[in-house]
Amino acid sequence: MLIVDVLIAVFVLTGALLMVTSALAMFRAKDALSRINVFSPATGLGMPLVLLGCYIYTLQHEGFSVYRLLIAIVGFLSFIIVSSIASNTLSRSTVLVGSPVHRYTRPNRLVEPLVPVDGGETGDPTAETETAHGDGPAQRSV
Amino acid sequence: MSIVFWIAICLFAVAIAIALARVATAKDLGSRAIIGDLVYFAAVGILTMIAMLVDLTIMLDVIFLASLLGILSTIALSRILTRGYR
Amino acid sequence: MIDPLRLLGYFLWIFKEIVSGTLSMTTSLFTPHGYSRPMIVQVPLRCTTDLEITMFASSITITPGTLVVAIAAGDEADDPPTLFVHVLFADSEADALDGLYDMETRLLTAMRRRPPKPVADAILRGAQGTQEGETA
Repeated sequence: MLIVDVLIAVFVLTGALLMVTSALAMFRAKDALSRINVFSPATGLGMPLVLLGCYIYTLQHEGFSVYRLLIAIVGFLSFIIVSSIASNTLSRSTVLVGSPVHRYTRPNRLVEPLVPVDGGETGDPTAETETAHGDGPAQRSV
Repeated sequence: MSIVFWIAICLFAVAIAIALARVATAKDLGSRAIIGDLVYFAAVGILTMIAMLVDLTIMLDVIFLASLLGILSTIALSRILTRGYR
Repeated sequence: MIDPLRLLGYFLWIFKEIVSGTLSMTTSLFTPHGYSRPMIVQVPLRCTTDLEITMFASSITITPGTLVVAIAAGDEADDPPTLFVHVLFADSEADALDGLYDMETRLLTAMRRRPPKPVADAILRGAQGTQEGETA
């Protein structure tokens, strides 16, 4: 009983601390892309831990049920997958809209494409993105 | 046990306060969108803690639905950022 | 075609990567100077199908410290689809590319039951060449 309580406390508090960590990291990060980047611990690890603590609490107080196990598993996976897809969408639209990129972002391959060294002409792999954001978001710097 | 939940509620509230302070100082819209996402997830965490405090039986359903539908706000914000362009 | 056991192992490995990335991000949050070294690297893929590319992009984004910024579609001939990845905590561009290609190799081994071709040497050397050129 005591061990279960300690487990719940550890999971819940770790999740809450990760959320605070992400909120603090928003101050250290310098541009929008970095902020989207440092947000992934909160949803990728913090919220699943809160859900895990919540599930153990339910298990302790109301017993086992297949329905609850199922929605706990689906919720756990969807926190990870959904937050990943949401970050992808948001970062893509951030780049499309031409939000400034911090000047210490080096190398920035959106501006200077990677050229393979020995021959191997790869065409222009950035053609689509270049036309997509026109003047390019990355030329501007903070 | 309930002291743990209260501490967690305070931590989530601190996260929301820090994030709102950041929204007030950030200039670009992408940062504000992602911070809005953080506030949403912290609010879900607070709801879960309150549900555990008062022994609601539907807390797993709440967190399940919140995890599935959390993407909608982010996608709407990103669509607003690009003004409808995909 | 898909190897379920290897795919499960891949998911466990991703989970381990999430935990270790979170730890490194937390420690670097509390170091006073030099929080991050942001860079946007270009990753020409060996993935071909949409499922593989989607899974690889999602895996990159969920790992703390790396984020997919843009995707360029490849054409049918010899031009591979390309990801642009925003990396925060890597030491150099070659280092970041090594980590990403390691993840891709694991994913493709799980998805195809056999390891993919090794990365074209020209890409890695291209990264290293520009790196040295910039520092010099």
